[in-house]
Amino acid sequence: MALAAAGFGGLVAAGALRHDVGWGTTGPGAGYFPLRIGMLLVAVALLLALRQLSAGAAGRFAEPGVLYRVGSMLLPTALFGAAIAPLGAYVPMVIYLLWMARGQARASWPVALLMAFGTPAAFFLLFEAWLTVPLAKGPLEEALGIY
Amino acid sequence: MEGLPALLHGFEVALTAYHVGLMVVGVLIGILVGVLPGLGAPNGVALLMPLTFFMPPVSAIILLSSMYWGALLGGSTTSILFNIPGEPSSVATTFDGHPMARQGRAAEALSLAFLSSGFGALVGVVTITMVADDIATFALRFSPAEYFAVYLLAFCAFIGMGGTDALKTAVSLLIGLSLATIGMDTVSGEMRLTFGQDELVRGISFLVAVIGLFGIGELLATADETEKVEGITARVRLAAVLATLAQMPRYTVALVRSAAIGIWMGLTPGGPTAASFMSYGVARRFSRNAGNFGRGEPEGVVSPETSDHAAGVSALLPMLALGVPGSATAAVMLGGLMIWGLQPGPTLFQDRPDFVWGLIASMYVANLVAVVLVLSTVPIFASVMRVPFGLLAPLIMTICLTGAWMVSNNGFDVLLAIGFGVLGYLMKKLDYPIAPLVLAMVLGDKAEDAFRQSMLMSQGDLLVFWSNPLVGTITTVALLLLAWPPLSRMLRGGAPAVRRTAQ
Repeated sequence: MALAAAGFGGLVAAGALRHDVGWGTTGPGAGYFPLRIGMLLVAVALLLALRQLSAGAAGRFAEPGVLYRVGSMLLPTALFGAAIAPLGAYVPMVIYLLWMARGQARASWPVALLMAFGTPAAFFLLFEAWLTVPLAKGPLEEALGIY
Repeated sequence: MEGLPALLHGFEVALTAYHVGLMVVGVLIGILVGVLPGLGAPNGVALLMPLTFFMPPVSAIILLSSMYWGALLGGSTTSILFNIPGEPSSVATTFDGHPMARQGRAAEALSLAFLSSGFGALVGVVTITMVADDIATFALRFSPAEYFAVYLLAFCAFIGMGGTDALKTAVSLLIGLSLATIGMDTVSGEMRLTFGQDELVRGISFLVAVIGLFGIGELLATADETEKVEGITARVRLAAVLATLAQMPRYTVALVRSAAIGIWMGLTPGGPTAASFMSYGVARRFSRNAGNFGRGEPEGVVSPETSDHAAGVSALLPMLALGVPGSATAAVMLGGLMIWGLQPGPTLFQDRPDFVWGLIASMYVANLVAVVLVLSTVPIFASVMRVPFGLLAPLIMTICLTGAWMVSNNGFDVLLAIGFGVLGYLMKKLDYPIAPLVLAMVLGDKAEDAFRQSMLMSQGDLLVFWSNPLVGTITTVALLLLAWPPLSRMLRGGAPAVRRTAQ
């Protein structure tokens, strides 16, 4: 983690170098601040990494079972998130909730179905009908003419 | 007390039927958000933010702040009944609150927690009412150099006094500052750190970051732990509340001391979490029943709860008067203020007195509403916790992703939120504090602007930060705070040696 932070700091500093890092006509240039922040981040993160190295705490990050549990929540969520822009919010929502409730939490069919279809319906009523905030629409909504 | 007429005008604003209705809605959503795992005050406010863009700013801030009060109370409910803190700031409440509930004194613990919260909040608002004008007038003298010094002070206070590992806090803070620089440069209009990606031109919205870090990250972390939830049912009856109320004078010392700690930690950017831990620690050290702490000592519930709320309330004052938020939630609200087109800072008090005093007056009313509502709805909200986490998590996840979409109707933001979720999970797992990152993201641009303006004024001379007594003092205090962890270690290490020579 500390090394990743150092890497990110390096990236920030490198990006800042593309700009005026010194003294421009309007005072400090665009790269002035980010470059110093980036370099500071590298320094602090390396210090942290060194300290951890000297402490020799190479304990395991997590048990395999834990990683599996976290992954089984993260992966479907990431797919759901990625699907919102091309497919609209509603279709992926139903599939996602159905999968999580039935496939992961082993809920009974009535509960899973209620959740998978009730939530989008509630969202529609709350956001679109009442607060008039549009959610993402996809091909299905277009085909049905709900707009 | 020139604030009094202004406050009365504020009450006129706050006490309209529409605003009282918003308070009730805000508090109820807040309690729910506080009770649910993975939804806390900062990201609850962030999720609700897109819905407030169409409201007048006063109504929006009343809704959001009421939600904050509700969330603080909801967090205490789960701490006591389920030993699961709904909010980081109610962790200290679990130490004695849950043992009390297990001994069958759940109703007493809950009433104690809510009443002392109410007391803390009240003291906080009264303090704000009294000092708000003075602080704003004082801050009118600030030039960019002073502002940068104040931001520096906020950042350094986090590192020096945050209570977590100083290096890790610094990393979190610097990552936040870096993220804030992404996008178009406000001075030159150059695209910074976008690496040719069009999506990054607008910069990274702090709302998306908050939803990811606090919401999704929290859910992943909870999936990691999945403890068995063993709740204790409690119904709070009016008689129990009154009996507890009658007991309250017994804890006067603890109440006053904790409120003072809370207000101090809220005004400086220590935040409610640090305040509640500190107050608990102090209470344990000075209590006559020190041995009973951790086994259901009422004072161990009263102290952190009072501080928690006093800090939460007073954290809003530096946000309004200086533009420096005292807690993560206040940081999100500060970002909201800017989105609503208000310029936080001393001029806000002159330009928009209706906004400032409407908010302050609403805090009196909303906290009262919150305590009454939470006392009467505990059983309903506690039953939410009986829904299995496997069902609750995807629902909350759906809310988070939908919220991320609504920030700017953009699919990239949703993916970004998930990315931040993973980052938040890793940070939680490895004990990196998240609040500094959010604070830095919100303040980063303003800090950079202030820095560049001061540099411009001084022609690049760093001594501008010591050019007059005011800015010099702030800068020096900031650097002292930064150096505090190693300094205090040296002092503590030195103390035994001194004692030995004395013998």
